[in-house]
Amino acid sequence: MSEALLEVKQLKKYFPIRSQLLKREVGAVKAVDGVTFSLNTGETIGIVGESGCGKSTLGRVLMKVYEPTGGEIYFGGRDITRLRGAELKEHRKQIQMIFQDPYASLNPKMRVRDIVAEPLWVNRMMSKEEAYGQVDSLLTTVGLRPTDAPKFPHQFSGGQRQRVGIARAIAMSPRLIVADEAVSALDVSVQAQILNLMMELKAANHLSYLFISHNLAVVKHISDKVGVMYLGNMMEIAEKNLLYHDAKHPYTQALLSAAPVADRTHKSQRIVLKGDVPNPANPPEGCPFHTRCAQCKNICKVEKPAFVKVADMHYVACHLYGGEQVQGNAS
Amino acid sequence: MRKAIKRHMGSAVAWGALGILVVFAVCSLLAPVLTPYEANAQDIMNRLVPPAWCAGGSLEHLLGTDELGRDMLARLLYGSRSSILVGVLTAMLSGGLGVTLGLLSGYFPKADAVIMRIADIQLAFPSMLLALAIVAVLGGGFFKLVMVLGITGWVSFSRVIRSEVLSIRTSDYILAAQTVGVGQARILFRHILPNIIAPAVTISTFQIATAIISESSLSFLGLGIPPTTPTWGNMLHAGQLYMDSAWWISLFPGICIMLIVLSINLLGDVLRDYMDPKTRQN
Ligand SMILES: Nc1ncnc2c1ncn2[C@@H]1O[C@H](COP(=O)(O)OP(=O)(O)O)[C@@H](O)[C@H]1O
Ligand code: SF4
Ligand SMILES: [Mg+2]
Repeated sequence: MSEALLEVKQLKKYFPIRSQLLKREVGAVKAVDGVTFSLNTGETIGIVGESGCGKSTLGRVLMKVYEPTGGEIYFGGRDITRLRGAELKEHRKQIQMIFQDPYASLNPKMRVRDIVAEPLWVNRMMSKEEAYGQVDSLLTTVGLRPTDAPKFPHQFSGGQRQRVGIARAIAMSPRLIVADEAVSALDVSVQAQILNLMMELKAANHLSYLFISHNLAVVKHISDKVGVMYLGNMMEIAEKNLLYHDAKHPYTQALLSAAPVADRTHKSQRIVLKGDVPNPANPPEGCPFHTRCAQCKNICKVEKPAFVKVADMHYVACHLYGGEQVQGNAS
Repeated sequence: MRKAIKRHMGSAVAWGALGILVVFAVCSLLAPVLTPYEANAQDIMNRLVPPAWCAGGSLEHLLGTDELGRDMLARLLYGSRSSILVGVLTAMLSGGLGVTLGLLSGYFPKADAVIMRIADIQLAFPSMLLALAIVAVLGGGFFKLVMVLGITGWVSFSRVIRSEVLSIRTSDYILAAQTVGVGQARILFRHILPNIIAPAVTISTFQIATAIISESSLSFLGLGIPPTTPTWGNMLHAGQLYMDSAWWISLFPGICIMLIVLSINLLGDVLRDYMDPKTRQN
């Protein structure tokens, strides 16, 4: 297949917890705790997991909005983990973001044409005049009309606003788009339209997506492969059909059994997760999932399972499965 | 329907407020034409003449005279000049200072630590005491008064602007601007500033109002504008001694202050709505 566009190895992001009074560091929220995966050009990886498991943080570390605490990020074969300043600015053109809330992600005081043209000229890719000249075609590309250019965000519906956000994201012709819950705030009928637009854009522009969502059905629709996160850890990554029909990890199985995914062929019993998600500031020893896992063994409480390859395009972090250990290049 | 009525009422109130402000402005400009008297012309023979419609009043002095026989109407007309000017200049000064410092404070955590400490220290002093101290060092006079009021007023601006900026700074649309490569200066002035104009206008109208009132207190203490220059503030205070016998001396400037403050505040509300693209559309 095509070359790896993005390679992430043992990526970590801890947020320090400071004491109220002296601002001393008293601990850390392990929002992302050693995540490894790779993504090819033209591919979409879906990232699923319950709220608070670190999906957004993962996306933002990849965008370099947050500095990673540890690990490595390679983009197009280049190490971008510690990129700063002008190089970072240059690199950022290649990764863009689509946000969850189309109401919050567009400046209420800016006209659509200013929002869409800005990325083009602030990076000196072209003059201001040329940038504004591109607005009409960008709007048409995302299914809006050129007459929408002088409008303010509040004059649009949620779905149309999300289209404006998409126009802004594709303006600079990025290679990767991080879509964080990009359709979660929209009506179901509108969700499908936006997903279709995203897939059309991907095909036309050879884009890759990191598609973050808590909604398994939506992820299934758009992704080529899917990663399941829990407490900052990647529990399982597999090609889409493998994951949805032959999930290995007990957590993935529980998620799938609880979700109303339409064509579930593997009729499994509904697995009810007991207990709450542990606090990411104080994650359990051993397997992060062991406090809620029905198949927990003794070793699970003391030793963190390695990320192993159980089949082609299928990786799992669970003591139930032996396999070839992955040294940070799962694909 | 209800909305339509409300909107109609709203615009009626706005026009009324604007009308009052225009009348005040025109009167203060045309004072020499509107009254034959000078503001400080004393007439000891005609002290404490009541307004024309009261017993003992005279058409010579429509709104009566004060304790030195000065014509009330003339003093109100000339007094509006300094009062309005103090209010507007003070609001501009404290607004300029407050918005700038509030923006910096909300956007740059390092600047925030310094600016907010200064604000805390300033707030710990009663503003009157601070004003007294500054006037004691610098001396009185019109522009010093504006400076004093402007400097004591920036904190309330900064606090509000800062907290607005703090919440805007972490919003998705600012993150989006950052990730497409917009620089800090542009984010600050083109993305954040337009979103804080509305609260700034609202606070400005309050500042104009408070400045007009504070001017009167400082002037009363002999620290602001010298008593030879009439202002609504010093007229209001001068009249307090005669409240029982000659109520008109302080009532008329009081009504003027109330009317102008009310009009400015009402207009501020309308202006704020107007600047919100959401409401402007309708
Ligand atoms: N900026 C931040 N500072 C401190 N903690 C954060 C920050 N962002 C996220 N977290 C914490 O990191 C964890 C993961 O959050 P997030 O990545 O938003 O999860 P998700 O997107 O999967 O819901 C949560 O416990 C959250 O409270
Ligand atoms: S490692 Fe153990 S506790 Fe963790 S998911 Fe597998 S079986 Fe459950
Ligand atoms: Mg999230």
